[in-house]
Amino acid sequence: MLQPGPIRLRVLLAGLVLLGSFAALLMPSPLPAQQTRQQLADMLPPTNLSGDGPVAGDAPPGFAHATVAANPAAADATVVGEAVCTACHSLENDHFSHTVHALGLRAAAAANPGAPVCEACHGPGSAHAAEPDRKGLIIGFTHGSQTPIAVQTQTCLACHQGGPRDHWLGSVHQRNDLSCSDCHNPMGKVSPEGSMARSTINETCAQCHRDVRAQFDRRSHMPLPEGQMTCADCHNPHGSLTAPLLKTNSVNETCYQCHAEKRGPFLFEHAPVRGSCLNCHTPHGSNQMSLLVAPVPFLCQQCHSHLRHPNDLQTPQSLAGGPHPDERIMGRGCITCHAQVHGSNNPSGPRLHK
Amino acid sequence: MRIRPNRMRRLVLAVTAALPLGAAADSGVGVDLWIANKFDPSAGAAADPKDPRGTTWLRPGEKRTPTGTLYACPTEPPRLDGSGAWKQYDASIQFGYLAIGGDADSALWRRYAGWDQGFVLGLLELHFVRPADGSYIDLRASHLSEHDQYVKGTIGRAGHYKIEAYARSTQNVVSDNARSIWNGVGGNDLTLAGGLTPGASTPAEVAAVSAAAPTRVLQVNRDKQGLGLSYFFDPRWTGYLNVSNEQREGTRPFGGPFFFNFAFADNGGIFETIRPIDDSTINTNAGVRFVGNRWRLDLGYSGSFYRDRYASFTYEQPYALWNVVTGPGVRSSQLTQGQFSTEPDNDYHSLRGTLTRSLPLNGQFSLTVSGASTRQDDDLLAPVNCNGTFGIDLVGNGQVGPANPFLYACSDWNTPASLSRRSADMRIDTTLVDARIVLQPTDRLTWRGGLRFYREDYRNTYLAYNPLTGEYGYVAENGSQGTVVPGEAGIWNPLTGASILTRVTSLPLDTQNTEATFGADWRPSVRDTLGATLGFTRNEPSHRERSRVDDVSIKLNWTSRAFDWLTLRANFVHLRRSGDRYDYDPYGFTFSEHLPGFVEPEGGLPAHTVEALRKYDMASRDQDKIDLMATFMPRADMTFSASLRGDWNDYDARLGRQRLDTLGATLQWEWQPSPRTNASVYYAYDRSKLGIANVNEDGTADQTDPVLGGVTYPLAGRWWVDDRQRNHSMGTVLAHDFRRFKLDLAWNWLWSRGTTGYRYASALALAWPDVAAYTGDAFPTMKYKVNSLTLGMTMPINERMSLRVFDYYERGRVSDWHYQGLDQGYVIDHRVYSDGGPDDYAANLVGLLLTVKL
Amino acid sequence: MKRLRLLAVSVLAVTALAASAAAGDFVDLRRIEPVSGDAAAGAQKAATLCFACHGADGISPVPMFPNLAGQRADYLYQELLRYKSGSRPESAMTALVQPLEDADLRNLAVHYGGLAPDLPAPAEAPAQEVLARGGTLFREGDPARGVPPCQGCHGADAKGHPLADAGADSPYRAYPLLYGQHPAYVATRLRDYRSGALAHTSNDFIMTAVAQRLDDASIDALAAWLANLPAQRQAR
Repeated sequence: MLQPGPIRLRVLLAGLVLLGSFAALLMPSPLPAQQTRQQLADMLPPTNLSGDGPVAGDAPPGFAHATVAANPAAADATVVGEAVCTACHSLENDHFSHTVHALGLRAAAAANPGAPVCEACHGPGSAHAAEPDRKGLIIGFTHGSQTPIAVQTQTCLACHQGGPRDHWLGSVHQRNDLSCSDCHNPMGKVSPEGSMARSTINETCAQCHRDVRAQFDRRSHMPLPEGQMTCADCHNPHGSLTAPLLKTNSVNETCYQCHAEKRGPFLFEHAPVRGSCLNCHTPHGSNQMSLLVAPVPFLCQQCHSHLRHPNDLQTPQSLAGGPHPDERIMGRGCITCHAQVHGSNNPSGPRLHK
Repeated sequence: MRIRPNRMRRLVLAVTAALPLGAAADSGVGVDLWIANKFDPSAGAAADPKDPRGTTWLRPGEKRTPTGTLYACPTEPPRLDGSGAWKQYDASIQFGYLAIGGDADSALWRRYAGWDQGFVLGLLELHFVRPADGSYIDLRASHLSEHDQYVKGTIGRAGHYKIEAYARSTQNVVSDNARSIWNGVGGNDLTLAGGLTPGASTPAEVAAVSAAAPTRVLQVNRDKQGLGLSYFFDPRWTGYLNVSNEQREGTRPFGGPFFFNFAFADNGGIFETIRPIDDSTINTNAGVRFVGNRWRLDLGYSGSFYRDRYASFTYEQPYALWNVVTGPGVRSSQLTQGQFSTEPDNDYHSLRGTLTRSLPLNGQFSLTVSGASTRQDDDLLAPVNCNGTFGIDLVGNGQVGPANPFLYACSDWNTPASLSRRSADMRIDTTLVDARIVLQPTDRLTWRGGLRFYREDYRNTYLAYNPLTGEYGYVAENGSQGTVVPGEAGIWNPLTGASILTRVTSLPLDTQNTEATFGADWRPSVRDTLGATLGFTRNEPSHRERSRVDDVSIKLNWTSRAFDWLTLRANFVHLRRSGDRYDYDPYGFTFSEHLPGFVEPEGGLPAHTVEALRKYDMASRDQDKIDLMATFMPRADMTFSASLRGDWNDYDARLGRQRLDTLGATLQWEWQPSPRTNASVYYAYDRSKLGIANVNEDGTADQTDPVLGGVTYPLAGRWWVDDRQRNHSMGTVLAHDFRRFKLDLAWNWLWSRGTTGYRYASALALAWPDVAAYTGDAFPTMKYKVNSLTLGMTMPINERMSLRVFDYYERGRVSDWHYQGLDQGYVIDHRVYSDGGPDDYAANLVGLLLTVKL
Repeated sequence: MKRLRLLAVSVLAVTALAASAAAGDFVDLRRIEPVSGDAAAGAQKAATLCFACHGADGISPVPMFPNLAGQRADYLYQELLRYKSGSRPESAMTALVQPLEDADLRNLAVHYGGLAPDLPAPAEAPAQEVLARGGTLFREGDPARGVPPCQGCHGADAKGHPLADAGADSPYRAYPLLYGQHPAYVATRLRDYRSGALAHTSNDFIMTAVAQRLDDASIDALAAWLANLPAQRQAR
């Protein structure tokens, strides 16, 4: 067992660091020269744990308080209203009308005539309406729109902050300058779920991660190409607490969501299994059976060199039909006898036989 | 720069709360985000006709994502039907007939797709909306066969609530050519078939029964039902709840040990039994989320409950076992039954809370605390399920006692009274504390920092002690090991077997991770972003070869949009893993050597393993990763993407995994000249090289020296294996709408080749030195090649109906040397195999489907 | 090898198909070739055929017939094509254009497009409020009614989209010049858009949506303001 002393010390140190960072935050920190912290706090609306007041009419709560997005590049623009936008963008409107954003924003606008629809995401439109050829005057989410990526993501996050997007800031996709619109297209109903840019989640990820998607076509794979699962079943592309963007706290917990029988804990564990499923398996696709990273028995012989039978070099002569058929390599090899390779709950199972 | 108040208000991070985009299971929590099948992985989206008018009247073509890939063309907007508040749109039913020829039963062809000849419901879609308040009702269903179908219904109101319910059946076909020498396949008690006598049959008899057995299909079917709810209480608070119940039912190849056959001809037993799978898992996720102007909160609970129908899996074994000791009266016990404990019922609870606060400098601080607990407390099976005696009767009188030290009474071991405790009572508690801070002092600079602490506490250990006999240890391999070789039953006896080395306790695997990261991103211009991240991780496992494993890593990334027609992303990682002294044998405390009264055998304890071996999850290594992605925009209607990914791992190990290198490259070309036409082609290349080294011991020498190059593990016994995989895959999708009809083509080609090569210092390394002369240097190539082509034509008959006819042809060539020679017979001496392995296949599916708009 | 050949054939087939992809139920003006022609030949043709209604220098004496001087050549060519195909409501133009060849149409378009837009100011200056209303509509639109500012597509100077000649593939080539156009013609045209009489090109669809948001007073104000633009220029 781990020694209690150093643990407490470590927890204490971590706590001190956290406290220290809190303290650092409370310290005066550089602000725009003319502003004090008090002025900044005064400008922000007060923290309000309750709602913003009763919802007007029949507006759905999620859309009821939508405000016009802020576009730093068009600071003097004013709101023009949805009808001005759809005069020129009538075809876009045709496609947009069948999306969930349109459903909600228009229901809110019906209850609350002042509620923005197009301008909730694209910002105030007067400057763009007057000079549509000048880019940047309206928040655009496509290539060449000249709206900075940070403004694009901030706009979406104005409504979609939190939840799965809690860790967006600092995540690998954010660091690599991706915008929400790299994966999503809320302007038309292209995918049945999720307002994706392509007709499925998997195809959307495969725009950039084609190599990983190609691995799923191999001999052993999980049913992602068959449409029965998606990349987002295991990964949270918006950012998460783990480096590979997993949705749970660890690799194993992610796998146990569908493979709960492997959770155990078992009476007799197989140490690399408890450490990480990825010690033996590759999650995306493998040429071996059961998504293994190497053929049995060599998979096991990476770690096992005990006396007697694990550490012999097997050759094709040990296969069925050869001069020395050897159960240590034929068929499923080692795991024909050590069948409980993920751990055994049997009192006679230290060698994973039972 | 003064920030004006009204603009500041709009810059505030969150005025309205998070809108759950997807299901109650969303991209943050839960699985089953997508329910579809192989017939149409897009659940109807890909078949929707594209709007021939295009995307906008203001410019031609399609727009691109900020990275540069073309968006999919928008679909033709559906017509809203209905005079009342509820309008129906886009409702249709597609049904028809599938005719299948060729290897329709092939496990690879049917792996996750229940293709059955006959009538199918391709897709039923119903959509209703009530525009006045944003409510909607959706239903989607498809049925291909009993084990490949789904239905999913959603009722909701945009921005208010969503209720989703689904039921789906999926299959996983593992084998199509299994032969069983047992009856009762599918249940947990296998008895021998074909008149075989347990414990007294000859290999020829068993082989005959196997050959006469009909081939059968082994598959596991999953039936899952789920219900999800997400709700907007008010603009700041949302909640979600989802519950799912998944039942798995079926069979898979498994195992069964009755000691070596390779070492002793006509002895031992190796059984690839067929185990039942019959269990259910209930998963539940629930949580509340608060999003305010400065604070955010995300509280979630996850629970998972696994229940297995069977606690044990028992099988009869046909062979007689004989012992290696000769002498007057020496007899072996007769063992006829083997047993497994199935996976224990387990309960998992997890609570996670994240609190985030926005900071000045446009930053945020986020603290996550999470705790989880996994428990199982299954009743333990007895160590063995034999009757009579097991082991070797040296005296010949069948009496267990000090005079007959290698003979054991089954009654002493086949009852739960022989256990030190009746139930497992195992538990793992995990704790996670994660703090991260991001600051953006200017719009060009971002600072990031994080601290993470993760701990797994493994509670409880199990002591293998038999209160009935006062012995420690267990019964190895259903009693067979001790029946063939004296003293190898796995039982330590303080009087008659005080030098037996055997496992006596379980291995608790606590671990603790502390991680610190610090990084910065800098945008020198609007066209470039540079980033660097330093990471340090300290991993402190307990009872492993190292008690401290440190990772130091540096990540660099660069995104460039210097040219209008090119977006380039480059990521580079270098990681160095090191740690404290590697202890090749930390497991001594789990063995009988630490029991009081243990008598060290003459000559010393045998080496646990070779001291130079480095287990690769503990070994020191250097890792370099590179990831390059480029998106070119040569023309307004064309995208060309290329990517390169490399991962090179160099392990500091004389024995064990030494190297794992992977390299992948892809090319993608996409063309969308008009909404009526689209074409895409991709090519992907992936190769990997795994290098391992090991050493065989000199069985004739002293067995106590763990040093590589010593008497036990001489240098002459070393061997090396290189496993190289090469994969090429290519695919193309073409679709064109001729107005009168639509043609589509999808072609996928995969060519995988694996070579496992080896070399060795001398014949001492080999399992079979007598065939060293023609041992060669590689296994037969492992191959997997698939060629599949789908050609389809969709033709509108009238305004409401359209006909689709398609042909899906797939040909697979597979060669796995593990199964080489098994086609001659699944039974070889005392080895009984059930699964013949994967086979080549070629199958053709023709489908005729009618789609009717409702 | 066989596989590669099959692939090549499919690629070629798809390329051939793409050429016809643009044709549909409407004329797609988002992707047109810049019109080219012989201005001199066009001048000759115009002198014999068009001058009677549209004036010798493209400045029409009759308020119902539009000024053509300095009009965008691509716009003129497309309009002539529409008259020839019968997509436009029946008018004098329909019969007159029938015997012309495509080359003639191009030449005419290039000729008139090459003329300088020296359009005269209206004889009678319109009322101040009407002018103000028209100017506001042109510059800022009418958000209350959903009218977008006309200058967005027709240019701040009403002489066409600023990016009309940005490249050979500019989708704005056929956006017309409105500067100094006869108010009667502009008003009729806008009313035709509003009623849905003109709905054959992609640009028609844009204008239909815009015109549906205009009431009669707004139409008249716009027409008056556009006609008065030459006066404003002279006044400076």
